[in-house]
Amino acid sequence: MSTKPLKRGRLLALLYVLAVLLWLLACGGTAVRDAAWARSGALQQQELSLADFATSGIRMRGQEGLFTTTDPDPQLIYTPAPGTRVVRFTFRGQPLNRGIGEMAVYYTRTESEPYSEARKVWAQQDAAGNWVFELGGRSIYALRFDPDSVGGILWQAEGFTLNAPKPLAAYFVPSLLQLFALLLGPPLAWGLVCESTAFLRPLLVRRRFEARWRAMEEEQEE
Amino acid sequence: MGVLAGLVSLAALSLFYARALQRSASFMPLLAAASAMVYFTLAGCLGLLRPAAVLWYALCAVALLYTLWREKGRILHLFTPGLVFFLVGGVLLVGVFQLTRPMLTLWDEFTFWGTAAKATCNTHLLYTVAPSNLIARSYPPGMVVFTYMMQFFGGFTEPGFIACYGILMLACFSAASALWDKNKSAAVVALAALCLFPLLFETAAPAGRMMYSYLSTMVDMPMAMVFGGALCFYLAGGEKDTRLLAPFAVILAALVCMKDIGLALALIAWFMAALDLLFCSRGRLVFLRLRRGKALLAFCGVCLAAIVACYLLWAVHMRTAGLNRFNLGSSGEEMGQLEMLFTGIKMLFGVGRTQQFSTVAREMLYALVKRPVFLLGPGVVALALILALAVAALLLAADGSARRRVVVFTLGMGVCFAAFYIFNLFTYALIFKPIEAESLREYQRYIFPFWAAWLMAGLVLLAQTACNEKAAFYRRRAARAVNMGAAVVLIAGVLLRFGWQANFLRISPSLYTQRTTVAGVLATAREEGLRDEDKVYLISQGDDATRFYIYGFEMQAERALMYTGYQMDYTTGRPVLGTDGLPLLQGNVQATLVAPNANTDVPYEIACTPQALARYLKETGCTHLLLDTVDEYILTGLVTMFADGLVGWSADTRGHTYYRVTWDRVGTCTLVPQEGGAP
Repeated sequence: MSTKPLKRGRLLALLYVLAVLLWLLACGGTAVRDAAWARSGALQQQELSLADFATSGIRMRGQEGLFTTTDPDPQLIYTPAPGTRVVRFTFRGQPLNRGIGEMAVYYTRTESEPYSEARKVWAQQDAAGNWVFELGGRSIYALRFDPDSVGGILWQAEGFTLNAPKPLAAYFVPSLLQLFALLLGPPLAWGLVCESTAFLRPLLVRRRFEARWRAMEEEQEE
Repeated sequence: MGVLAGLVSLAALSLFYARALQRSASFMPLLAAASAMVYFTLAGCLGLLRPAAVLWYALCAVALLYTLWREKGRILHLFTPGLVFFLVGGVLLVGVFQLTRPMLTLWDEFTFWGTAAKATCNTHLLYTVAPSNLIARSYPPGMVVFTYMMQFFGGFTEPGFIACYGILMLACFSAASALWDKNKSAAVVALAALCLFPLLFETAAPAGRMMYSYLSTMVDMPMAMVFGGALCFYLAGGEKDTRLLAPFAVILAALVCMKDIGLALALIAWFMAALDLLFCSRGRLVFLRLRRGKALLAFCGVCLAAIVACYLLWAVHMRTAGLNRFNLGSSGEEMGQLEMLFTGIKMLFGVGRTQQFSTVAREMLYALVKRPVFLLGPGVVALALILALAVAALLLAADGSARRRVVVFTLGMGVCFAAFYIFNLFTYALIFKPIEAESLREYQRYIFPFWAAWLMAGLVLLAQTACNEKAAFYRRRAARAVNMGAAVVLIAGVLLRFGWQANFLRISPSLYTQRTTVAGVLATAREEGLRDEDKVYLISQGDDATRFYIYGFEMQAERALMYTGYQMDYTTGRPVLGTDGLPLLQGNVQATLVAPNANTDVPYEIACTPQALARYLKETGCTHLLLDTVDEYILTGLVTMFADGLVGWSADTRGHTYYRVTWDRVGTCTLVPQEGGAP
């Protein structure tokens, strides 16, 4: 008779192992990639100040680093040297008066490319309260930082960093989305594999499949 | 974590129901949640929430013990993939939200959902009568009392509150997956597609906005899922007997309790069930020991009675609480529902048709092809998907009666959709303000529940063929393949257009800064002596009333309405001064005390004087004043009222926050800085 199909429980365990391995590989790959780029000089850490940005909807105040946004779409645009790769953009600063709505970064990859919602990165905050944007190491043409989406916000900016270094261990800390994918992805893949083999097997085996099929189903139900 | 107790009570009741009703436990979380909603709505209207909750948990414990005693070792056989999914998913949601601590951020959550739920949980009184800063009190209570039950132990917390909404939706998905109970791998795929439904029917991500599914605490999404769950419960529930149809009536009653439009959805589900019984299942129908035609009539009567009873219960409660049910949120006109239907039908046939009606009717027709209702496109795409599923179900159906069911259901839903769409046309044309009506404001939110429920039921209709023992082997196989294919399409559709940047698992903290700054100001005010028995007047310049409502949600102390400088003219979108120059902020009026709105460049006169503000403080009986944000106007125009001369305050810096309202003998009002603990 034919080979016994892989036990379903074992298949699920296998998929979990596979998922974890894939994830580790992806994390390690990213770490290696960033290190290689840093070595070749494509990935440079840069400290920026307000003066490095072209602005719109922003009024500088007398004091150092203090600015107010004057409309609901304030923009700080930075155009780096051609070929610069950006893994991470960090803004060190805080709003001083009220809620800021959305803080986001838009990026373009060529001069002719318009800013678009498809190339929008939302702000996250690190433990120190800095605003961090993960851009995934793209080679970018321009980077547009929108500090708020309401206007009338008073900001205290301490500085900006391109490609702030990341400790090796941090590459292997999963985000919540990744954890969810690791937890729920394998069962879904398991379901899809079981369902497609259940459907494809009789077509592949080409025997009197109906009877065997029934037998298999009964076995499953047990 | 108190939510877990609620989750366990639902699961316990589910096991009991599964045994008593002799049906799959996958259906039962939905039925248990619906029972809770109806039961607690009744208890809330009677003012007996706390004893009812104690009784609820006691009954659930008894039900669990009884089921354990009767089933003993066989109890595990009651667990189905759906029920396990409900439990695991519920724990996962609660755990994730404990970790990420999501907060409410949407306007409606502060004007109603969150504020009402918090007041109900904290006082054990329904929000209609509970002391709180809630202004709109006439919305139906289904979701609020459901979250009250879930959070009875542990009290109101925002993460727990948000998790309750997800748990209710999981219950609906579990019900829709019941047909796959015996096939775990198919159940997993079906459940994966189902739990992406809320994300599928949210169109924010392609527009670059945050996806609020599983975070939003507005009722629309859970209501859509309960509507779909009710249809699935009926379709997939097996033999049409009392054990199926009486619980079905309970789910419809819960639907009525959730939102005003829930009445229409419940009537549609009722109509669909009656249609199916009449054309497809009359021969085998048994209800309350009656058979066939009599049983059908009895079912229709009982179901309708349950729906009407719930509707009337709330109407009577409104009247006793002195509230007006027909004051529909953002309405331009006040109109009863019956009157609206009558006028609308007249206009539909061309009698006295207004310009607004014609414009809206045209826009609604275009919207079917133009406006996205879900991630895969506009209404016609949803319809195409549903019809494709129906055709597959028709071609693969086992026999004549199964085919008839597909045809009757699809045609019936088509007719109901038309009615539902026309009803929405009436509300746009007759209730909404013209500028909002002609842009079909919130179109997606009002229309998607029907599409979502129809798609869910369409999947179940096809699954019925795949699980029908009578069908030929290859038909079942093919039906299952098509069903899994459809699930894969839906999953892929969501994953391809998913907002990976901003969703319930990845929330940008920038969205919480409004909440954290308000919390900061309140913390200062508490240090300075804010107490729960104060009546507080808020000055928050440049606010579009968002912060006003957030303060209402956060504060235990009573908050007076804001005194306002302008109202918005909805036809021009420009601020205008009220007729007397000084209207008071009421409900949905957007306003600031005075002044420059950052988002409009319309200059206008400032009209509030210290005398006028003093008069208002006297009229409303405010004891204290909370300074949130000041501007030039306050600093120059009202500074004379403050004993400390607003020292330290500027447009950018904060000074003292909490002031006591004092009156001297001649009636001059002075605002004295409140110091910690002083009377």
